[in-house]
This record gives sequence, C-alpha cells and structure tokens, in this order.
Amino acid sequence: MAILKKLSLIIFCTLLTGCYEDFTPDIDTTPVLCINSLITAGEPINVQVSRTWLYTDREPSVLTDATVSIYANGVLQDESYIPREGDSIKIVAHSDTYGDAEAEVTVPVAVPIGEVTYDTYLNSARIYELPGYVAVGEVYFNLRANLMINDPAIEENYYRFSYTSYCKLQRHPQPDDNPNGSYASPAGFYSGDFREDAEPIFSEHIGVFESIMGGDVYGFTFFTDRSFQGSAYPLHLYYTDCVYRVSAREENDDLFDCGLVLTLTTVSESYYFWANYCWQRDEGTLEDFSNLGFSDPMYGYSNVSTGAGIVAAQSHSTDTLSLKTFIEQVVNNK
Amino acid sequence: MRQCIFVIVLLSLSFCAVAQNVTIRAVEQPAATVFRSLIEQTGKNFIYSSELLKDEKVTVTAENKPLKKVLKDMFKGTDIKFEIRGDNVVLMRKPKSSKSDRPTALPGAKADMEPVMLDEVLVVSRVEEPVVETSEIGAEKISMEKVIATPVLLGESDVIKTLSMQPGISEGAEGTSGMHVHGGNADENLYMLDNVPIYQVNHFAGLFSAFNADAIRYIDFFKSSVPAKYDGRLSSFMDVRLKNGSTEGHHGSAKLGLTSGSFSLNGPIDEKTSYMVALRRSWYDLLTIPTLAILNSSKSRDEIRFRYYFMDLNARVNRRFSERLGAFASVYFGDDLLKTGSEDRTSEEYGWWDKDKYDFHWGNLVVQTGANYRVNPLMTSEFTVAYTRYFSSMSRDYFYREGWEDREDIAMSTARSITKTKNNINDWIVRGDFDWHPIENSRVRFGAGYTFHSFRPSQTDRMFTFDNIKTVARDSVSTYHASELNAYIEDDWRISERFRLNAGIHASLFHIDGKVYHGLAPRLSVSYSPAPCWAVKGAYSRTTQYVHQLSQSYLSLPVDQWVPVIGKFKPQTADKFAAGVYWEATDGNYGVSLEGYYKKMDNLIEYRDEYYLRPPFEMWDGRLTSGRGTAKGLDFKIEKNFGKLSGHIAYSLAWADRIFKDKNGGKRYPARFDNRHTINISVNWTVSERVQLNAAWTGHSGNRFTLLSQMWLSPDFDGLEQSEYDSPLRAPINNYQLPFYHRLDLSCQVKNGRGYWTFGLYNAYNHLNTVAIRRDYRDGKPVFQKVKLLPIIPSVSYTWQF
Repeated sequence: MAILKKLSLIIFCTLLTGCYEDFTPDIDTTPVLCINSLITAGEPINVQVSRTWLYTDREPSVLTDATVSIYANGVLQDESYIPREGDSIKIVAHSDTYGDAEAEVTVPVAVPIGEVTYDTYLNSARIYELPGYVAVGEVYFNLRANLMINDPAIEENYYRFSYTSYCKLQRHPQPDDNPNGSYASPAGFYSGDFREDAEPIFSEHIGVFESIMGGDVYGFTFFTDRSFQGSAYPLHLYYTDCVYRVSAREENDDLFDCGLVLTLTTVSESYYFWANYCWQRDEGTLEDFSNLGFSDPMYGYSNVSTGAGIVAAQSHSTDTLSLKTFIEQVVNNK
Repeated sequence: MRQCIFVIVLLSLSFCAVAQNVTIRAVEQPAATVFRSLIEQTGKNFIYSSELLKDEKVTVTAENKPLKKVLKDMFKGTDIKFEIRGDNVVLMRKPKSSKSDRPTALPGAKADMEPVMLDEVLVVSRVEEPVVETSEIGAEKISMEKVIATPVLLGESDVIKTLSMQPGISEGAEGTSGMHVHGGNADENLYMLDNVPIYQVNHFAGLFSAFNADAIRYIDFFKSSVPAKYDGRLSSFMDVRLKNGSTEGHHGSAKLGLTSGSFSLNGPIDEKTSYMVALRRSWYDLLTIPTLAILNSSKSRDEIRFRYYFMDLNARVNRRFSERLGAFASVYFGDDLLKTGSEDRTSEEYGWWDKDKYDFHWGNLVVQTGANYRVNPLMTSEFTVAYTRYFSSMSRDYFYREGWEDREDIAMSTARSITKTKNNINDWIVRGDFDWHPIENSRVRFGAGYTFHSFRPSQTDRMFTFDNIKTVARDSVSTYHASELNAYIEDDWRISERFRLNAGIHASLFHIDGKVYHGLAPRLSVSYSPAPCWAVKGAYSRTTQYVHQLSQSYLSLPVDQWVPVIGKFKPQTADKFAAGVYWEATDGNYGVSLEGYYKKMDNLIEYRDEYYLRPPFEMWDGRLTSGRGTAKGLDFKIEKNFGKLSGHIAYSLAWADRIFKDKNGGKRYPARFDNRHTINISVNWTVSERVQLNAAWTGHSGNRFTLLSQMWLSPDFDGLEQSEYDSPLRAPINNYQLPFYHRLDLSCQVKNGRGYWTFGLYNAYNHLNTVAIRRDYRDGKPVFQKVKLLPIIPSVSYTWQF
C-alpha cells in the first residue's frame, strides 16, 4: 500500500547511501517513574508503576519501593473506590529511588448511542434441505449501518468506536468452514471485515502528508467531535463479507438471532492522544524521516508529570444491532 | 581619498543593462572602478589580466555615449586594446602574440571569443564597490562564474550551496539546498528572481536549487545590513538577476550532466531587442523507463510505476525603445513531477487485485514585465508588473477488487480510495522603483509596491467508494486573500571622505481576514574609514515577515505549505545589530573582514510539541505556537579575489536559540543549526589556460539533534493495536550535538576548443558525516547508531559553448 513511503526512503537511501555505526552516546540519563492506567467508569482502578531505562539497558529492573495513591475529586481513596463518570482522578506514585510522578484525568461522561439504522446487501445465500435439519446453509452479505452520535455541547469530546459480534446460539464460524460439514453448534455469525476507511472521521488524524504517503487508517477508530461539536453525527459503519451459517436440527427462538454489539466509548484526551501517537509511530512517516535526520524524532506521548506513562479514562455506551429479521427472511424465502 | 575622483552612475542597473550608451565621469580613477560603473550600465563582463591594469588610472568623461567610443577614449594613447564580444569586453595588450598563446574561455564567457592573450584572467560580472567604500555589512555579490566554479553534489551548479560557503550561513540537511542564515530558519530567506519573490526554490526535495546557473548574471545577497528596498523575510535577501540577451550575435551553450541537461541561447532579435532562453531538465525519467520496463516484464512481480523529472525554463526579452525608455519581459517556470505506484499482479488467482497510484506535481511560475525610464539625467525609474504562482498538487488513487468475475458463488467487491490535495499561492505584484542623485554624494532610492496574495494552503478531498456506496469528505480550508502594500526610501550618503551613511525605512501594511497588520522597518548603516583601505561599520535592520512555511521535515517537499499570518499570530519581526572591521587591498585583490551581529526575533511560528497528535484541520491555532529567538556571532573572512590562485577562508562563531510557549515545555533550546564553529575554505586554482581546479572544504560543529535515550513501558490498553511496547521518553529539544562535520568537494574544469569538461568529487575523502542518531538492534541487543550519509560521489558533465 504505502509504496511511496518505501520508494521515497529507497530513493534517498540509494542516493545518499550511507551506513550505520553503533556507538554509546555520552548523555545524562536519570531514570524516572512511569505510571500507566486505564480508568473505566464503574470498574476498579488498576495502576501499573514502573521506571524508565536507558535504551541499551534492555530490561527495566523491578520496582520494589513504589507506593501509589489515588485521589478522586481531591479526596484520597482506598482500594474499594469505583470511579464514576465526571470524577477527577489523580494518581500519585512515589519511590525513594526514582522520585515522584503524578497524573490527573477526568473520567468522561458516556454519550448514549442514538438511533442505529442499517441496510444489508445480500451477496449470496446457499440454503440446503437436508433430512433431520430444520435449517442448513449460509448467508453472505455486506452490512451498512449508521450510528447516530448526539454530541453534548460542552467541551471537546474524544470517542472510540468498537464492536463485537454475537450469535445467540453461539458459534463463530470461520470463513473457510465447510458449509456441508457438521458444526459443533447449530449457528454462527462472522461479522466480516470492518471498513474503517469508509468513515472519513476515522481518518481525521491523518494529515495530508501521511495520507499522500499512503498512511492507512486500518484498525484506528478513535475520533474527535471537532467537526460536529454539540450536534448530531451519523457514524458510517461498513462491514463486508459477513457470514451467517446455520446447521440446526430443531427449532429455537434464538436460531437466527445474531448481530453486533456496538460500543461508543467516550475517552479522555490522553487516551485519544496515546492512540494517535501509536498510529503516527507505526503508520506515519515522521519516524522514518527522523531516522535519516530529515525531521525531529517523535517521543512517546505522556500525560504523566515525568513524561513517562499514560493515565487515561473511558466510559462506554452500547447498543445492539440485531440481524435476526434479515437472516430469517433470507433463509425462509430461499 | 580619491577626491575629485568619483563616478556617477546615472542609470539604474536594469535600465542600463539594455543600453549600450553610457554616461560616466572619472578623473584619475582606477580602471577597475570605472569598469564597475560600465558593467552596471551595460551588463557586460570585463575580461582582462590583473597585470594589465595594475595601477592603471584613467580619466574619462562621457554623457550618453556608445560604450565602444568611451572605451576607445579611455585607452587612447595606451598599449591596451579592447574587443567587445557578445556579453564580454576583452582587454589585451596590443599585438605581440605568438602561436603558443592559445585562447582561454572561462565558463560563462562566450565561446565565440577569438584567441586572446591573457596570462591570468579576471572576470568582473557586476558592480562591486570596494567593501571598504560602502556602508554595507554582510552583503555578497556572487557572479555566475563563482557559482559554476563551486564544487557541488552531482555537479549541479547551485546558487544556494555556493552561498553556504560564506560565513554566517549554515547548510540545511545533508546534501540539500537548505540555507540557515545567522541562526534563522529556512523560510526566513527571501529569494527573488529579478526582484520578484519566488516561493519554491528547490528541486528534488531540496537536493538541487531551482535557479539554473546558465541563466544567471549575478546574485545580490544581504544578510546583515539590508537595503530599505527589501523586506518580507527575517534573515536574508537574495536577488537573482537574469542575463540579458546579447545585442551582438547569437550565443549559447548546451550541457550534459549526470542528472540533467541544459541548453541556453541568447542574441539579438533586431537592433533594439534581444532575447535569452535557458532550459534545464533532469534525466531521471529517461533512465528509469528502460529499467522499469525490464523489471515489469516479469508477470510474477508487482508492476512498479515510477517517473520523476524536474525542469526549469527562463526566458527574457529586452527592448530599447529610445534613449530614455527600455522594457523587458521574462518568464520563469520550474516544476517537479513525480508519478509512482504499483499494481499487484501476483494475487489475481487468489481473488485479489489492487493498484496504487501517486501523482505529485509542484513548482513555480513567474511572469513579469517591466519598463525602465530615465526621468532626467539625475533620476531613473523602473516599473514592474508581475505574477508569481506557487503550486503543488498531490493525489493518491487506490483501487482494489476482491473476488472473481467468473464465479457467482462468491461475492465480488471493489473499493476505491482517492485522496487529492492542492496547495497554491498566487501573487499579483505592481511596483515602481526610483533611483535619484540629488547631489553628487547622495543617492536616494525610493519606491512603492502592492501585492495581492491569494493563499490556498491545503484543500484536501478524500473519496471512498465501496461497491456502489460513495463517501466524500473535503477539508474546509479556505482561500485567504491578502493585500500587501509597501513603500521605502533610503539615502546612501557619502558624508565626507571618511564617513558614509545609508539610512532608510521600509513601511508595510498587510490586510487579511479583516485585520490590518503593519510593519515599520528602519534601516541604518554607517561606515567610517580611519585609514586608506580600512573601514569600520555599524548597522541596524528591522525586518518583518507576514508569511511563513509549515514544514514537517528538513527537506523541501510539496506538502510544505506557505501560510499567511492569521488568527492569534502576529507578523514575525527581527531586529539585527551588526558591526564590522574591514580591510581591502588597493587593487581589491585581498580582503579581510570581521563582522559581529546580534539578532532578536519575535513572533516566530513553529509547530508546537506533539502537533501531529492534533487533527490536521486545526492547523492555525491548534498545531502552531509562537515564540522568540536570538542569534549572535562573529563572521571572519579573508579572501583573495583574483589571480591564478583565488578563494577565501571563512570562520563563524555562532549561537542561536529559540523559546516557545508550547514547545520544549516552554524552555529555551538551541536551534538545530546552532553550529558553534564553522570553517569554510574555498580555493580556485587556474593551473593553466585550460585547466582550473576548485576545492571547497567545510567543517562545522555538528548540528543539534534531539536524542531520545530513555524508554518507558507502554501501556497495554485493551484492544489498542501497537507494534512496539516501549516508548521513548521525551527529552529537551536538540539536547545532543552531533559529531563535527567536515567534507571536501573538488571539481576540475578542462577546456577544449568548443567548451569544457567538469569533473567533480563530492565528499572527496569519503568522510561519512553523522546526520542523525537512531535506535536499533544488533544481534537482538538494543544499540544506538549514528546514521551516516553521502559517501564520495563523482560527477562529470560537458558544456558546449557556441
């Protein structure tokens, strides 16, 4: 995909053929504490404290003298504390050896999912009539859905979209399953490929430079409300090559009941920036240019006072998109 | 003092360039000084042996007389004769030649020259007053010959790389044509082509300059004291003046080099009109076509598409309508085109096919016309109308098909993703400039101009089509229109024998988005000559910059955007104080200078920390930050200007730093090109009439680099994909100094009957310089590595002159 990125580097490297030489820089490196934590509304807090290390030291040594304190809205909490939406949480870590570190984050308020509409596009269906079976076959289709986000007219919000597929009669078949073979369970649903590139807002973090150089949005579903702050926005969701397979010997109310559980997560700014940093590092071009001295290097994003670690927060909203009616119609009309 | 000895130059440079009549009054003036005036008025080069005119003083008075007659009068009764050949006036002693004295034609001189006897040759290609007689500080006059003689990467003569051999100027990224003057950024230099600003000054991501040496007559460069005429950038001003066509015959040259070829032609159209055309084009695409044809002949591989070229065209027509009126029209067009992509031909049998196409096109167009009018014997004027356009367009078109056309049991799907972006600037310019000599010792220059800018920084369209479903998104980036009005006046006043003063002011208004910004830029430079050949100078300059370039790398890429000052940002300003001591030998052959400067820059604009984490459309306010910077240092230079051995040694001691509210945690940090010590040595040795050797050695303290030496454990947040589990810890910007940089470049010009060969060696002793430090693994163990680029690179070219 990103042939241009490769080509540009090849051209420069060819033209500027050079070499690499191992060396040990003479630079001061004082280790500092690192805090990592993803706080989810309604769930206990888990905090990971470590320390930084010189790149060539390979493995960081285990911390033995660190203590962690959690403050919610300015009040010190004990282990029973469960964070709530809107809570301002501060995590403070202390080590006699490596000093102090702290970070603060506000648990974002979940934004309820608005109306979810969908269309299905049948690609093919193969339904068999076999003795002893009430339904045998498979349905191939694409799914297009709109998930309405009603963005609150307050400050900037950051979101992440995610989903899981479900099938009441539990089995997730693989695309290469033999349709005529016997299944361990009577039905299954495979949600196919989710096309992030079909929703422009998933690529809002990709600048022109990265976009032209072939930066790929694959796997990235974080976004901001900057282009629809305080208003409604329909998130365009596309799934291709969805497969429903059934091989049932008896009637069951849940037989065709499958679909998607859609999750709209409101995330803290720190979580969004961290995710974006990971994308820029893995898919972007700046890192490659900086390795040749043509741009400044990127350091890991952090909202911890020492510059090491991420303290992020999130709140979920979920909704279900049921495909039962569609599947039932396809199987029964065939 | 050379009292009673003065030369009054009555005509402005461009006006006189087309005129063959000259006006001059010199009494017992050194011949070289008189020539400078004649060069200014006629645009001719003077070629002569320095021995020939040693201590020669001439007396000549002429009022609008033909050049030929003036020269005749000048050398009447001497044993010197002259010949005017095209752009050159060749001086020689009256006959005593023998067959062994063969002709010499320096690069840049015309090949139709008849044999002349010159033991050593001096080419003065433009007016250059002795440095001890002007009040200028940090000014350079670079001739085309000097540009051609400077050895450079791949033999591509480069104005900017030639300038970077001067003290106080840092090279950009290794091998590129970046220029950082007195601690400034690359976008703080105003490049002009015949006084019209040009935005894109590089080809091939900055490896080559966009100025074709074949078309250049000379370059004016100012880095400390700045004439009031110039403003709009903080650090330096470079005005590239194009050649005029010869009025006395058609001449030209053709060059074939490793990377490009060029062709130039000039001559008369009729008695009053002349033309000049110069074209340069790279060869890369011609080289890659057969290579790719071979590579792509195998169906078992992906098909690769690649085509790149750069070209530039300069054309100029001059016409003289009357004794008082002349006019010119010129066009510059330079562009780079890159087309690349691939097509997957190996996966079709597995039900997959995809094709990726990238198209890039960027460049500059400058069209201008002007008239030169002599208002009266004491005042000349020049009026210019110009249009300059910078453009870049980029697109990516990705198409894939999944499935088989001939199988109904499996669904086939297609998807196409197109990203297009455009970035352009259109400037319409009208200006008038006047040059007035109200009294003998005073020269007043004044003028005014209006520029209508139209900026479209980046308009991006993204379209995704999946089967029949189409999604389109367009970034809502506006076009910004701005009006810029400026006026200036300056007086270059020789107060007494010892004192000279240049005082001026440049006023500007910049109207954009309902706001009006203004700049008042005073300029002052004074010179005191305590003894013959000596001068002590001081200067103050304020400069204002209303546009700046956003660049994510140190390369010159088409994605770089020029954007106007807008929103919460203010125009960038710089206040520079400079002082210097100068000595120059009477004959101008040797010169020594020591200059000091202190520059304070305000309202600088940079990308803020972690700007790349913010959505791109938040460009103006969210991704940028403003701050300040300072630069100070000393520039020392000793030079020998002509003779068999010429060249210079330059040394700079410099400091440069920056401080931004939202960068480096608000703490001051050294600039990337904060090179404490820089030494540049340039030597040109005329071995014989046919052979000239050139050497350029540069050495400087390593560039600054942000070394991220510590790591921390990345969080493993649920569902977030990442390829690495350690993250680099932030460190102060430019916290590490790379090792000392040094490099020797050599070139050799060997002349033959019809032209000359140029052989070059870039990085002659193959010292790989460190340009960056990266983290990597060796045998599974993490290591820091120095990244070293650009080994020894030879080049060869042949230039045919006719």
